[in-house]
Amino acid sequence: MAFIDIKDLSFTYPEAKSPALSHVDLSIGEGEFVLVAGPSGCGKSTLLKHLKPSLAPFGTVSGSVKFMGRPVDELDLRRESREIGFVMQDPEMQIVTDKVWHELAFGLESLGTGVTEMRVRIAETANFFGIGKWMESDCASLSGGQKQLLLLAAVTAMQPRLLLLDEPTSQLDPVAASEFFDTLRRINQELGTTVIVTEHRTEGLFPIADRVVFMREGGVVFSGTPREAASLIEKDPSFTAVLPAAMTVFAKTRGQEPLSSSPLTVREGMQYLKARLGGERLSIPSPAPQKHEKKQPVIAMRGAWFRYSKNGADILKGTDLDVLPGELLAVIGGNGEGKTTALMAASGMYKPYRGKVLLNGKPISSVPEGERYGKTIGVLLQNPLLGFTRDSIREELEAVRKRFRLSEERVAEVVELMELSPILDSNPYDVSGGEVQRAAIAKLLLPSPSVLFLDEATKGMDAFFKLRFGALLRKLTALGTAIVLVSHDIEFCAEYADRVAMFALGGVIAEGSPRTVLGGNSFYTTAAARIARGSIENVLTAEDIVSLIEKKA
Amino acid sequence: MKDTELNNRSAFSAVHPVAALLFFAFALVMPMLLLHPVLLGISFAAAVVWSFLLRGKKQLGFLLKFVLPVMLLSALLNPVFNHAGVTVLFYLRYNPVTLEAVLYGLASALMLGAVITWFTCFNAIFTSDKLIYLTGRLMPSLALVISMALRFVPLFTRQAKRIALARRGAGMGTTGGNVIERAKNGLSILSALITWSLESSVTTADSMRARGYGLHPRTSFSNYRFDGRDAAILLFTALGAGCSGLAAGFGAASVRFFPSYKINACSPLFILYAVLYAAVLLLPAALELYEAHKWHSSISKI
Amino acid sequence: MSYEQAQPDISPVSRREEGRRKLRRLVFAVCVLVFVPSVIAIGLSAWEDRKYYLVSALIILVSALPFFIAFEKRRPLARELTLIAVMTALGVAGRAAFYMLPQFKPIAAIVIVAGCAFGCEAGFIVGALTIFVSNMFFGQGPWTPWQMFALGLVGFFAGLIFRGEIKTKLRLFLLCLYGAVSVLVVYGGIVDTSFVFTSAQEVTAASFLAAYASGFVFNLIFAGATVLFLLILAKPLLNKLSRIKKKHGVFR
Repeated sequence: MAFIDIKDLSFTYPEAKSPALSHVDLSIGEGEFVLVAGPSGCGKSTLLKHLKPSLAPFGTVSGSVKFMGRPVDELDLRRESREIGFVMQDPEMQIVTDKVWHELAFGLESLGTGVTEMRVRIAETANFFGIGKWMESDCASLSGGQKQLLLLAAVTAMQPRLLLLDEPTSQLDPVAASEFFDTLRRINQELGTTVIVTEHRTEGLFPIADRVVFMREGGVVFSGTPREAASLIEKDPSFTAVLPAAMTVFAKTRGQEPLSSSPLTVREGMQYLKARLGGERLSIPSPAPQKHEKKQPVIAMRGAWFRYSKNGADILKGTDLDVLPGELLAVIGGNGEGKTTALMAASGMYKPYRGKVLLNGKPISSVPEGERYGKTIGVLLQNPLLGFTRDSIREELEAVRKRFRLSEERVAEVVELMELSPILDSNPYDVSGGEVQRAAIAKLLLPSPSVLFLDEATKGMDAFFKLRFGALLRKLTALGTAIVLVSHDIEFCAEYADRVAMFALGGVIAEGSPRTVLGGNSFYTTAAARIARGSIENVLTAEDIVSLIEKKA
Repeated sequence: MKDTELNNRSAFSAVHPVAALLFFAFALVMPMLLLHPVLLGISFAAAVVWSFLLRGKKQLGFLLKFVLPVMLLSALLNPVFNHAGVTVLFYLRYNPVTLEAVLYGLASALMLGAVITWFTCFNAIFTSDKLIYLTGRLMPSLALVISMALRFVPLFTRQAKRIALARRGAGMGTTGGNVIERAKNGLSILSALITWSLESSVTTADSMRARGYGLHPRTSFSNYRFDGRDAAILLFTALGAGCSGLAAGFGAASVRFFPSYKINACSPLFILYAVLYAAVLLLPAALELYEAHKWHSSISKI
Repeated sequence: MSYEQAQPDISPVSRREEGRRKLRRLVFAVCVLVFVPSVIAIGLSAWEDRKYYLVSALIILVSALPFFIAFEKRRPLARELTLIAVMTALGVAGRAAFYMLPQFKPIAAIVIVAGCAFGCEAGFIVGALTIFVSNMFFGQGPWTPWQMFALGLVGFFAGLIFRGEIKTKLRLFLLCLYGAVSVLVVYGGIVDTSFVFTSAQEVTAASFLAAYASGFVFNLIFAGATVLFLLILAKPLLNKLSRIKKKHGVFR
């Protein structure tokens, strides 16, 4: 008897045309660590919620889901709450109470646990997660990554046998995400808890998972060991976007090697590549230095100094940054280094206390706000939903149109460009994260600004959507809009940016084409570049390696 | 959140919330019930001493800038507007200013000062944790709502700031503009905040259900332990309350202001009672000093 | 392994715990037996004006308790609890956001909308808790119970009179009118009355008049702000709330 047995499960949301899940068959053994991947809207969240009856959505269901041999919806609330833990995406609103200790106690309080036992459980949980120091803190004072760890701890305190996690790190930066995965691995290995996690960041989970399940359009297209997943790329090249770089290289160059020897991590990838090249060292010719036609920058930040409070630490220490017309400039850098602050200063939202910011050659503060934002500059911050108040995307766009006295044609143009027509009449809160992002950018585009500032625009996007999004950004720059993208997503920046500026220590420490800036780094670079270190120089993407090997053959 | 208000780590903040609450109930209700100038003076003095131990220099500013002016105003206004009483001191614009009214004004000023100062101590001691704990003893659901609201307030405040920035960056909001424009912008921010918070509340509710909210019976966790010291404080406070009841019953602390004042302040019974009253009210201050002393002496032994 | 019943524990820790609990119960019993009679004795024998304070405080307590008990007894759903907490927090954050304008606050408007959307009982809870929680930031005082009760009533009557959406202009006008009247009469009336009781003044017609007169301007600003906020926010907010209620499936 499998721990979880899903048989021919189909599900359709009310008023939906096509089913969200169709004929899913899956069985999972106790103690397994399962990664469920697939593009947004493929049904992976819906599948996860069917394993937790109290969160199961309304709609038409057929088929069966068995948990430890019994239909899962026959579990009473008490057993279900105790044995099946669930962690969702958004760390902010999942936290219920104001203090860390109270959040840890919340589930135990629901179960009616006695105070003495609760004390023991809370203490041991805090110890396991290493969060004893924050016990008395306000939840509001924690960072996003700490909040998500706290929620994981709060669920684990109830001693569940099954942990379900729905894109738990989509709102976290890479460092916090890998810390989260580490903890997840410990829970699985040290407590024997069965873990099922849906995630877009597959790179970090492939080495941990026992099994990978890929879903598409409501169905399971693959279920097997992580190494076997390399076969997916052979069937459908678009999976390159989802799998770890080492696997992509392997799948496309393996020749007669069996699938079971597929590399998963950067280290295994390096070993594979060295063996494949037989110790030969190759190099991709360095790009010829681009001829800079002396374009006048749209935005020029010169020696900007900024800090948040009078006695606080300086975040910007004499930062210089140029934004040229029609380019996609990616600003990358470590966590908490002040990339976003640099964006805010360059866009004129924050005023540096020393140095200057020029907009088309004029000091930015001399341009009145009404002229500056909307018509010249558009700034999109994280969590784009915050800007929406109306009941449909159409009404949102209409409000912007009225504000800037634009024509209806302009709206139609932007709707077309951003591919919004299917969701125009939806409530912004009912559409997917990627769609919201597109709608938010559409709002900014309406008054035709010459510069767009985007903060972490690819956060939470799945790999397939990123391809579309990157193409969209390219379309915009081709039309002459300059885009400044602040991002943790190095793979995306390497793929799409015209220029990369690396921000650290309060200033831009390196800038140039992605290949020149990222190619030489050992840590702050793409996975493919790390794999190729010591065998091929100047690599940026997995595709680089593959094409070089193919050329050689 | 109020912990930051404390000057030092307060010894009394470690007292069990129920014992602390009953102490405050006694300290706050007595001045409102017994308008006896001597007792009010004792209460005010005890509150001031403790509030200084709790809040240090900050309390001096508060006392000078707020408490004393309020007291002064009350002490002056009473005789100006209240002309009852038989002992006329002098005439102010043909209106008599009476000794009784002056005394009454003095008493009410002391009462105001005492109540305000006890409340500053209350606010320093009763952190949100303790208030939620006390509410949760009787009404767990209500306590949970309070805890959730306290969780949301800083979150919403931060989101409101983010919304303001987002609107500005999209050219939809302003930082300048006239009052009407700014008010309009403020309302739009509020509206966006309301939309976001209501829509995201689904997540909170799901997160509660996923962790078994709704099962019965629900327990509530707390790390407060009722120990011998708490019992002693509670019994001592009860003793004070009981004696106050007796004193009131025997008329030992009787006061009358109008038409002619009669204040019982010399009878042995009253003096006995006043001493006890002072002893109870000085309890927290004594506790603070005692613990501070013990700490220092144990440090010096190390 | 069932947590339904507390197992008879025999560990030394729980035995000590049990001892503590017994001690606590005993001490509480003694205290209640002493406190209550003394308060009554003092109240009866004390100088006669003071009894108003006691009586009014007791009235507040006795009339507010049923609301809280009913809320507790109903065992509210997670979604109801969340919505009440969100509305409360919005009220508190709103009060803090307009700190620079004394009395110009959206709290009454938010409480009234909560009453309309969730019914009178939840309206009372949101009103009372908004005060309680925001006083945790601004400081509790003798005025806390009166303010809680007063704003609670504002939400309660809003739920009683205007249940549901505001569809017509007339209803919106009536809602705004209610906003003005409830803030001026119910909130202002109760809070100003309490001022006479809590500050040491003679309880005479004159002192009441003085309290009402001195509070009038403040109440007027508060009422004006409430009308303004209702005028602009009530309709969209109620629409949003009915969408959320549908999404949640609660408060029907």
